[in-house]
Formats: sequence, C-alpha cells, structure tokens
Amino acid sequence: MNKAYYILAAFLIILGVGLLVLPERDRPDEASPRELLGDLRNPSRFISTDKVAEMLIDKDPTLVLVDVRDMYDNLDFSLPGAHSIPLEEILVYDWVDSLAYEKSKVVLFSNSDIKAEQAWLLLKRENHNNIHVMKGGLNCWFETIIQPTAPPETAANDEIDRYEFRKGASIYFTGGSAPIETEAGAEPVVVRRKNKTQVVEGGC
Amino acid sequence: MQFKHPNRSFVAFVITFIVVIVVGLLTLNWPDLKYQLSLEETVEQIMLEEDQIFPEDLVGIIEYEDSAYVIIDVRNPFEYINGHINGALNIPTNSLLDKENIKAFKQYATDSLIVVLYGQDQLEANGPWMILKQIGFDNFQVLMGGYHYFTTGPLDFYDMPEVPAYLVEEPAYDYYGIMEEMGSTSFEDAGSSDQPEVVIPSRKKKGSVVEGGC
Repeated sequence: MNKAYYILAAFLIILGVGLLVLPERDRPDEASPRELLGDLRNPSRFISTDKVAEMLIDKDPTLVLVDVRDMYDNLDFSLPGAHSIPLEEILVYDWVDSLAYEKSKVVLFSNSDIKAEQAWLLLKRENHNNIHVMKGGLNCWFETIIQPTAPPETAANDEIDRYEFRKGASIYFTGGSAPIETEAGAEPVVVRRKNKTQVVEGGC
Repeated sequence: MQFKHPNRSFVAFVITFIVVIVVGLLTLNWPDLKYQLSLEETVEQIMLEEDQIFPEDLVGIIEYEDSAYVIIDVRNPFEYINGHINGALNIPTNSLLDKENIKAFKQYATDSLIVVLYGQDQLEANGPWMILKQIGFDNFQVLMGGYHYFTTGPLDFYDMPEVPAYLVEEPAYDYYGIMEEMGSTSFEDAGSSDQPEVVIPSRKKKGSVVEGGC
C-alpha cells in the first residue's frame, strides 16, 4: 500500500518536472495564422478615400490617421493631422494604446495600399481591433479627392453626387482654386464698398 | 469483488489516472501551424522587399517553362476559369492553409522550388504571402502588378516608362507640386488653416466698412 503511494507520488513529480521543461509561449495572445487568413477575407478593413475625406471635413474626433511611409516621404506631403509611424517602427511604439481608444478608427495609409496592409497584418497578429486601411492610398486620394474626374453626363445620380462632393472636398483640402475664384468674383463688390466708405467718410 | 483487495483497487485507480492523462495529451489541440518568424523578424523581412518578382521576369520564366518555378493563382475559381497565367495552379486564398496545400508547399520547399503567388492586383497576393512567410515558407514571391498588369501592361522592358505602373507604392503624382499649384500654401494643415485664411481678408474688409461708417 505504502509503496504504491510512493509510485503515484513519483509519477506526479515526473509530470510536474515535465511542466517545467515545456517551452514558454512568448505571445499567447497572438492571432493564429488561420485567424489572420480569415481576417484577410473580410473586406471591411478597407476605408474609401471618400469616407476619410468626409471624416476629415466633419472633424471626426474618432479618426486617427497613420502614415506608414518613411519619414522622408512624409515631409513632402501627408494628410492633414496624420501621425507619421513608419512601417519599420509600427511595433516599436506603444502607439496603438496611446492613439487608439475604444471607439477610434485608426486608418493606415501609404502611397498605395500594400505597405498599409502589411502594417495592418502585423497589428492584426498582435490582436488589435479598429485598425483600417485606406483603399488605394495617397495615389487614390489624389486621383479621387484632389483631382476628381467628372463622370459622363449619363452617369447615375449617385455618381454625380459623389463628384460634387469630391469637388468640394478638393477645394477644402487644397484651400485653393475655387475660393480664389469667388474672391475674384467678389472683387467688384469690395470696390463698391470702398467707394461707399469713401462717400461716408466724405459725409462726416 | 476484486476491489475488496486494497492493492487492486489502487492499481485500478492508477491505471485510470494514467489513461485520463494520455487521452488528454492525445486530444490536446496542438496548433499545426506555428509562427516561425517573430513580429520583429517579419518587419525586417518586409523591409527587405526581396520577395517580389517583376512581371517582365515572369514572362521569361513562362516562355522557357522554367522548372524551378511554381505559379499559384490565389483568386477565386471563377476568376481563374475566366483566364489565368499559363501553367498556374489555382489555390484560392481561403484554402491556402488547408492541410494538403501545406503539405504540397513543404514539398516545394524541400525541392527548392520558387513559388510565385499572384492575385488580381499585387494587394490580393500580399496578405497570403505575409502569412506564409511568417509560418516559415521562405520560397514564396509575389507578382508585382498582379494578373491585371500582366495581361494589360507593357511587359517589354524597353517599352516601359521610367516608373512602371506596377510599382504601386511609388507616388503617381507630384503631391507637393499639385498642392502648391492648387493654391495650398501650407499643405500640412490645408483643411484647418488655409480655408479660414481665404475667408479672413474679406471679413477684414467688412470690418473696415463698419469702421469707415462710424
């Protein structure tokens, strides 16, 4: 009887030692490769340039833009208010915790969408949610928002509405051509006002 | 009846105990796919940008039926039937990690074959490449420009512009130039500060009218 207990105890100790030898899983909370593949099939990670433009114009506080290109590219041009976090540093910072709140919408972008998607996959493996990719990247941004092309006159109403929105957005983001045009149109008015003031001044 | 003997009941207990542990170990769900690269190593691999194949290089590989290459189409079967690159196999993205495919990929690796992945565009094959890379397949490459460029774009080296269209991460526009041309003086906060800047001068003029009126 006693002997048998010793045997059982020895067996349990061996199992316990086995537990010690087991390799440690360094990141137990990582998404598995199969989960990543499943995420890849879900197109909801993509956000259109129109949607980003709309959120920027509305000054949506939940929008967090992240430019994953090199610092050097970022100096040349970036979206308004975008944070610059180059792809090689995407894991270095604890930026996701500091920038991405529960309801925030982190949107990654690069010149196209390849690098942004690579960054997205890395963050997805770390099990971060609310991370999105701007479809088409900055090239698409310039093609659709900054320099939109007019749809044919036979186009559906939706498409024409979208074009109207993009034209407005282009003016908003470049701060440019159209307001200057209206200013030019308003110039005669300004001149008249000046005349008026002169008249009033003269009257005083 | 036999359990009345203390030793025997004890032996039965030990045997069931061992059986439970062995069954537990056997049915334990060991992950069959494990990451071979850590996240940091993956970033390093991405930054190298080595695993991308130029479309003009693939033309030669197909022409000479280079046996060192396997071409895999990751698009769905309908797209594949409607047209695909000569000699390509069809393994849609969602079945890439199926057991028989993983087995085949391991065979390719031992035969030191290079596997070229392509989708409709480069993006479609990029995700699958990254996942396969992270689970330890080093012999996969992505076709730049994807099927779309391969069937439409110029593939003759001498016909190509200085920056071919398949280099999608290259800026297609002169961002700074366009923003400047369109009137944005400081592009960085084009949305927030430039717009008021345009409005403010006219308001000042209005103000001067009021001042003058007094």
